[in-house]
Amino acid sequence: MQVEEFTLSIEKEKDGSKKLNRRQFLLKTLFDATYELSSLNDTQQIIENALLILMGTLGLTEGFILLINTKTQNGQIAGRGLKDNEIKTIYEKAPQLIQQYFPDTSETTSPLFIKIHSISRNSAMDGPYFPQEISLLIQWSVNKEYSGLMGLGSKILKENYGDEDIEFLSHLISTLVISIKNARSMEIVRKLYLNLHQKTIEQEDALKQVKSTQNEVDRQVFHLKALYDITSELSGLNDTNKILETFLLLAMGTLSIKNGYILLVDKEDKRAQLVYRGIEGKRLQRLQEDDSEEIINRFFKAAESRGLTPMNTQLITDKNPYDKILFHMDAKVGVFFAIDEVHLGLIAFNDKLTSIDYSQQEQKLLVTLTNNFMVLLKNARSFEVIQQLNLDLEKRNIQLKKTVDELTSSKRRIEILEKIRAHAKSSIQKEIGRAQRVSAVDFIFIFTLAVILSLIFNFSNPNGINLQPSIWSHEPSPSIDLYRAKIKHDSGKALFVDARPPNFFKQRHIQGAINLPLTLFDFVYMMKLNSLDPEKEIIVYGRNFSRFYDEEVAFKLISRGHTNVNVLLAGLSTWEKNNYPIKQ
Amino acid sequence: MGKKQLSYKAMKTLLFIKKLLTHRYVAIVLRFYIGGIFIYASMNKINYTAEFAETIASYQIVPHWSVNIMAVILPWVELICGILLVAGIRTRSATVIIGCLMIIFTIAIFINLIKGTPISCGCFSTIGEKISWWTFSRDIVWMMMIVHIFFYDKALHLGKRFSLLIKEV
Amino acid sequence: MAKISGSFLIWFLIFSLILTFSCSKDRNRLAGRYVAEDNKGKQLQTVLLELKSNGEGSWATEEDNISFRWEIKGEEILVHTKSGGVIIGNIVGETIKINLPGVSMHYFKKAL
Repeated sequence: MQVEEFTLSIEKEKDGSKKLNRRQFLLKTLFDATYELSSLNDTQQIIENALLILMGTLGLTEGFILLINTKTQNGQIAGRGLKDNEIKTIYEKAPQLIQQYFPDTSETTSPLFIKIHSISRNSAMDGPYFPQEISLLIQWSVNKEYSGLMGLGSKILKENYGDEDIEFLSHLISTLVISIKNARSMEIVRKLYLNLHQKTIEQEDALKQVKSTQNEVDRQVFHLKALYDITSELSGLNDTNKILETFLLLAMGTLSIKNGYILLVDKEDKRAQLVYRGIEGKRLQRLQEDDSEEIINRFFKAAESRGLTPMNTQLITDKNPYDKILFHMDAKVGVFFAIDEVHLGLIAFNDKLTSIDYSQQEQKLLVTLTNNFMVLLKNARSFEVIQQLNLDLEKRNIQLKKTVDELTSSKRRIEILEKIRAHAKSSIQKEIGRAQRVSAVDFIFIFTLAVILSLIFNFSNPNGINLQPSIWSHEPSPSIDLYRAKIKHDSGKALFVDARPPNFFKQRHIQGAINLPLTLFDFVYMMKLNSLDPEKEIIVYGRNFSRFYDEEVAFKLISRGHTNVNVLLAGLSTWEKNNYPIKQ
Repeated sequence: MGKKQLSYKAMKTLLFIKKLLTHRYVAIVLRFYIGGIFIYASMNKINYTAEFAETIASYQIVPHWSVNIMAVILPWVELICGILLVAGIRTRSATVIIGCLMIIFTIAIFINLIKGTPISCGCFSTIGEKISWWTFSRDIVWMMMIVHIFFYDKALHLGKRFSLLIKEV
Repeated sequence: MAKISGSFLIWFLIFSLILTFSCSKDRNRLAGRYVAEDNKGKQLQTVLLELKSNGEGSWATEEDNISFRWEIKGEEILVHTKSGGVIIGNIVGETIKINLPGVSMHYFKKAL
């Protein structure tokens, strides 16, 4: 392209050195323009400067440059020597201009394409857009982004545009385009740089945010950990006192507190419980000297006036004089809590180890901790209550069990008694029945009783008798038969003894016999037969079915020493039958 | 008509007499009497056992080997039955036993009366009166009393005292 | 009713006890030592009759001594022998008349 231009310029070299000077001038201007334009960054400035240079160089009075970006359908305009509204009009007409002059919608980057129009005033096509003064219109485009229209008025010197001018114009335009390109690039770079900077700042901000969030999270974690520790520690405890102590210890440890105390009051039992750490004895004494009841009353009044409801907490600080009254000792911060209608408490903390004031966070933490603590304390109390109830229940259980046992034993006893009763009743009925009946059992019973009693009586009595007949206990006495007895009787040598009872003897007896009844043996023998010769022959008779009198008497006689004693076995009846002598 | 009325009246009086005779109070009296007799009778026999043995032997009914045993046991049976009768325990059984004894005695007296043995009755003492038809009839009377007791004695039993207990229970 | 019967029994027993004791009065009257004599007032064999107040007694001769039990029945004294016999004696004032069957009558006067 430049080669062509050069050819053109060579053709024009025919003009004298004027042209060369002009040329030199133009070149110098071009060089300066290039130098100047390339140092500019703003496109508006560029086109304004370019316009200035152009108009100054060419000696124009009117002119404008319209930059068009067909891609974005907008542009920039710079005008000189024109009225403002004309400039405005051109600018506003830009889209139509684009339409007219840059219909090509291809995207290809092509070398600078310059087209020069000369506008005639009458041209319907060009006329309406441009002011009257514009006589030359130059159109260029590199690509979609770098296109433009340049409108130039007539020269001051009223010359026409020479070739050198045109050349200059084209060079200038190319320089313009280049510098516009540069400027645009620079702008883009700057924009990018700004963007980057902004982004960096944003990033830094974000980083800071993250950091702060991290801090926040850390703090939360710390709080939660403290909460968790305390909760897990306390939930294992069942003793109220232990809970108080442990909580105080942990809370103070968490926040690095030097001294503090927990005061728990009970309206029902009328007592106050105090747990403390790091507090000197003197101060403590003062607190303990206070009457528990007074403390209780004060607390409850305060709770009422503050509207403290059960299972709620209130933060108390020494900043607030109203709050400070509640503190018994110096304390910086505290939590006033109520477990239920009858239990209130105050947790108070004094200095921290670091001697820094309690931050909002820390106060919040204390409140949260206290809430938890309250719940656990309530639990512990409930547990204690339950334990007590359990003990009572156990006691009652034992009592009940005892009662139940007694009842069962009584019931058993009653059952047994009932059984006994039924038994007794049945046996009594049986007895009654038996009383009316005749039964063999009775006979056996009576008989057995009679036998036993009789035997006992008989053998324990000196007057008892032998149960077996005495005949069995000794050898039978010698007997004599009837005939020999008769002979003896006739001879009169033998003594006949009638052993039967006297009545029988009186009835009938052998003639000549004497009566020696068995029953009166001793007497009769002693009186009558004492002097009887032991050698004397004696014949004894007299027996019946039920008694062998003769045997017995014979035995007695023998045992008295008589040697010749015989028993007449035949008896009186046979004697009588044989018609032997009988006395009636 | 008159006959009927008469017989009706007669029946009524007969019934009345029967009721009177079989009244349980009569039985009570008889019971006490018989029981008392037997208790009293047994006293002498227990005391003088040898004499009672002689008495039994003189009746000539029991075999000689059982005489002594009977003499020892029988009085006690009499005594116990007598006590039972008086007290009112097991009266029926006691009555039965006493009735049996009575029968035995009556028969024994009857046999010996027929035989004509000169023995004493032996009921109350050894040397009591000789047996006679009077003793026999006395025994018969006692026998009837015993029968009466057996059938009609229903009151004053010690055994009955349990009925009160029953009522309580 | 049953109570009446029970109490009756008790009374009966008491009554019989009283009876036995009433006998002892008589016994005491008759207790003592007696000597036998004949109907003319002369002493026969030496028979010593001793009546103890507890119901025991003894008939003693020179050879022998027989113990017995005795009781009073109205005007009569009953001597119960060991072998089962009974001897009846009559009480005439201070004299006791005893007839041993088959032997003889004995008159016992109270000895001093």
